[in-house]
Amino acid sequence: MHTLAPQPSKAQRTPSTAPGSRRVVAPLARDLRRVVGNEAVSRLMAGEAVTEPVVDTDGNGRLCEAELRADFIGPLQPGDTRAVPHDFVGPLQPGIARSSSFHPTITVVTPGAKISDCGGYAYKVQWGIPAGEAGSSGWIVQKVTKTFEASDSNGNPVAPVAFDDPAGYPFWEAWEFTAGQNVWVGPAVGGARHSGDTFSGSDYGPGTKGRKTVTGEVKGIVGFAPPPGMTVRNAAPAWALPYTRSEPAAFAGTLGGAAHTLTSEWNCTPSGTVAQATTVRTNP
Amino acid sequence: MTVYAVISFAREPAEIVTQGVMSRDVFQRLFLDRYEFGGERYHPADDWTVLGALLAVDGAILVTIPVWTWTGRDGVRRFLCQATDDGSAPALSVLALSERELLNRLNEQLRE
Repeated sequence: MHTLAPQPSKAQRTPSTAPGSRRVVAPLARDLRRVVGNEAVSRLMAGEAVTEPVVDTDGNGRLCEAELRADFIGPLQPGDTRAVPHDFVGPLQPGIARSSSFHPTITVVTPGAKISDCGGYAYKVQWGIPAGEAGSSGWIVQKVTKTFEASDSNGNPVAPVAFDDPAGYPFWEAWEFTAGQNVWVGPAVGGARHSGDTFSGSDYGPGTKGRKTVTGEVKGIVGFAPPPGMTVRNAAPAWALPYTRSEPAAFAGTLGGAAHTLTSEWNCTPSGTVAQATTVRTNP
Repeated sequence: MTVYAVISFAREPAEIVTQGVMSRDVFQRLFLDRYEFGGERYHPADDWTVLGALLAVDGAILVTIPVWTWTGRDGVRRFLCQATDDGSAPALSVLALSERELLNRLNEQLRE
């Protein structure tokens, strides 16, 4: 295949990240289960300190979600269902639905690495369709969020460039997939095969230090169609992909997706020194 | 002076099909600066051919960007002027469904 960039390999899926932990004391077990998961709540009710992340990013169920994992314990709200991923193999138990979503495979194409000393990074992964979904068609949809904090040598906040401004997030972007495990850049009709999803960020220059975290939640959704307003702009951030700032209903209403994260940190203070060149941590 | 030209290889000999003058700010932004993204850029499909090239010159700096064409799964030809998909310069990316549309969009972006 001729593409504008090379494409290597390696695969795996991701658990959630842990953005810090704290003791949870609220007793509303049902809602807590939706946020931190059943195991955490069981430990909480047993009097243990719970050190799970407060926000669940692995798709175990969120406060507004219509589908909850089949092993969710607790009463359901009206409209909620327990569900298994679309690629679940085996008979369904009574009361359990098959979701239209599944986790795509994630292959690291370009491991996360710095491209400059003061905050610049690049990281590229490639989506794949699991064998169990080889006959399916739909779209891979990713929700992207970002956190940003930076300061100068005197401790004054440094404003983010537009691309790093959390006000521009979350957004949703999508790749169509067709039978035969084919994934495309945006709509399949364009004929451009998916090469990779890239997270890249810019340098903040001397006299700054900070931290940026990009979090993707990615789902394959069988039968998905980009809603009105989710369109290709061929501009940052999503470039050739359908893009929207409004959560598609089919994304909100299905089981959670796989996690895809990057955190970069740097310290170029005081100006003229590099106390810590950009470090990059990714998952996967 | 900062100038550009699009050369078509479709004819023998190759010929300039559009040209113009652009600002240094646009030259810097579209040809020299990195671009950021959290998604994916276009890639020509398997049957691509190179139809021509965009050349832009600012003093001693010369930038060239290929113009690709391929046929989509819907049978419609695509025309793409773009060089990179990894965040490195040049940022310019213009996709169109006809050669005329591509040239019009290029002129719009480069002369803004």
